[in-house]
Amino acid sequence: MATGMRTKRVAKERQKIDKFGLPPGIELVEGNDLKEWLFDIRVLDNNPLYNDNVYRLKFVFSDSYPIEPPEVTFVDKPARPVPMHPHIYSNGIICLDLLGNQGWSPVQSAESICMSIQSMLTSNSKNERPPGDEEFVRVNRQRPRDIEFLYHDNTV
Amino acid sequence: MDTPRRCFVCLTDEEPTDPPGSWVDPCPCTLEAHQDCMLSWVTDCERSNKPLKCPVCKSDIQMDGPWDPIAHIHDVIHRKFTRASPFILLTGVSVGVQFSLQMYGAMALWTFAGKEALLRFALGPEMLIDGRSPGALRFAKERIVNALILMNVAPTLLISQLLPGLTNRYFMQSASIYGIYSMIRNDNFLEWPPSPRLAMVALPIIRKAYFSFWRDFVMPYEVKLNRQISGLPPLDPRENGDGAHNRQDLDRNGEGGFVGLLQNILDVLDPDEEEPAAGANNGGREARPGARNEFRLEQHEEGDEIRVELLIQEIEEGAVEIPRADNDGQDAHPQWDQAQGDLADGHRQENQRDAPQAPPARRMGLGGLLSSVSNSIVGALLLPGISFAMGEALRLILPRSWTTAPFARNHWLFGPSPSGRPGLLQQQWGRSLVGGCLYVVLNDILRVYSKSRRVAAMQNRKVKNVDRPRRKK
Repeated sequence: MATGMRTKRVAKERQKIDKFGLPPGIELVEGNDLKEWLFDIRVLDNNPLYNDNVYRLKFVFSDSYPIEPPEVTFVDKPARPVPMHPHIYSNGIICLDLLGNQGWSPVQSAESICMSIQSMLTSNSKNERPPGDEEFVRVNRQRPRDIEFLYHDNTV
Repeated sequence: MDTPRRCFVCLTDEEPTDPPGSWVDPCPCTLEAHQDCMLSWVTDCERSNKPLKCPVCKSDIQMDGPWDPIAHIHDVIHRKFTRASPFILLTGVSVGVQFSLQMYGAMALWTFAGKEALLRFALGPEMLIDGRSPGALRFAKERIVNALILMNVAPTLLISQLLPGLTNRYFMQSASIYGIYSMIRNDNFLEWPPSPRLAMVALPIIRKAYFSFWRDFVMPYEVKLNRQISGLPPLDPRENGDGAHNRQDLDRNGEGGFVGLLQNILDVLDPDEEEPAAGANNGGREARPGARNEFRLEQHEEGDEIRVELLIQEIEEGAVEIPRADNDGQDAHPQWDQAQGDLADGHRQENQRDAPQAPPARRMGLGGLLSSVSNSIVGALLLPGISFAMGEALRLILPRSWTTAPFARNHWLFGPSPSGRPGLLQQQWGRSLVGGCLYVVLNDILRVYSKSRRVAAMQNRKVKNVDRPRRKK
């Protein structure tokens, strides 16, 4: 049942993207698998931190999607770096309440997450990693959605 | 109006073939969904303690379900009690520990055994009979000793609630020694009806027998109910070494008492460490934090601490962390583990298909823990009063001849013994004792019953429809 729901839902999202396209700056790179998608995103304005770069997002849809959020991370590749951002760890894990169990709800979709992350980059001006980045990257073995981030910072 | 409904969970449109009632408008805004989809989301929200609100308009989502009066009353009482108990506790603490302990001991004795027993104990038999005191110094000494004894009543009740394992180990031994001592000194000791001394000796043994019975026959059922309430799949033995995980689950369940409580406090305060670094290896059991594991095993009690065990279970709603979920999550995302090569990739695919991801464990909040602790403390301290009330109820319900002392009718349970002792139910302490035991048993039964009703109600519930003008023709 759960698996059926995930497959159906991801397929529907795919249909919608094929039919209506994606907002500017967001591109579906690999979306044939109903379990794992890759998006390329870039910022639309002239934010000096990001304006020349394209970033790659990896979506993993668990069997309980869309009841549970998908796992969304930045992929680290030579042509696709992990963007500098106070809420993005250098291993690609993103601290965004939308991606945790508390902030997620089934009204969200892969597309809406991409847009949130895009705007998260657009509005940022700090060229830094989250505090404790090195330690986190070294120690963390949890799945992103089980990490209890403190969503205390509403400024970025 | 012309557009077909679209489920916001699975994004499917309404089909003409859909059975009536399979769709629901959960809130006043435009959101619509399948009943089934909504229910799986609602269950998830409940598991992660998320308020049930429409994700768009934030209005509350109401549930409809069969209504059981007893389960409802039980819930209401529990909620009220949970709200009240911190205040009761704080007040109690602020009244000064020693004074309150002494007062408590005296009060407990009074309620449980009656006024005469208290006066005899606190003031001595001489005071009661002729008011003469045997010398000031001795008098004071005895009174102080007795006051100190009274001080121990509350701690004993609390310890037996919070550290049942220790209690059984300690009290069983001392009760047996005291029993042997009394038997040597007193020929009538083992006679029926029992003296207070015999009752004191027998109680720990009865208690232990009752707990063992409960653990063997009712516990598994209650554990199952707890899991169902929290929306977890039943514990079923799986292949690929999951037996080990289950065993660990049981290990954790089996460890109750203060150690379990401590464990939970640690879990709350230190959530990071709790998710074990299961790492890349599939049977990541060895990778669990070693030190704490040892600690856990060392402190492993005999396993008769059902009360606290269940208390803890209720806190966690049965969802002690599920190691399987961690492992799967780990395997599904090799990029967290740089060491995992491409080889593992195929393996990972397989793995994910075989074992659907268990939902992440629900973590109780610090608030939930505190209110459970406070509930159980206040519950323990109220026990003498409840026992008395139950005893009085017994007196009212049972025929007078069973509960009033004087006339000798030679009945084994109610009549006076050949040695002239009044029957068990003819004394206040005896009635309280029987009443207290009765209360404990009834309370346990009621709890399990109300849980089973809740599970039954959960299987039949629906998301409530909201009237929407736009759907009306």
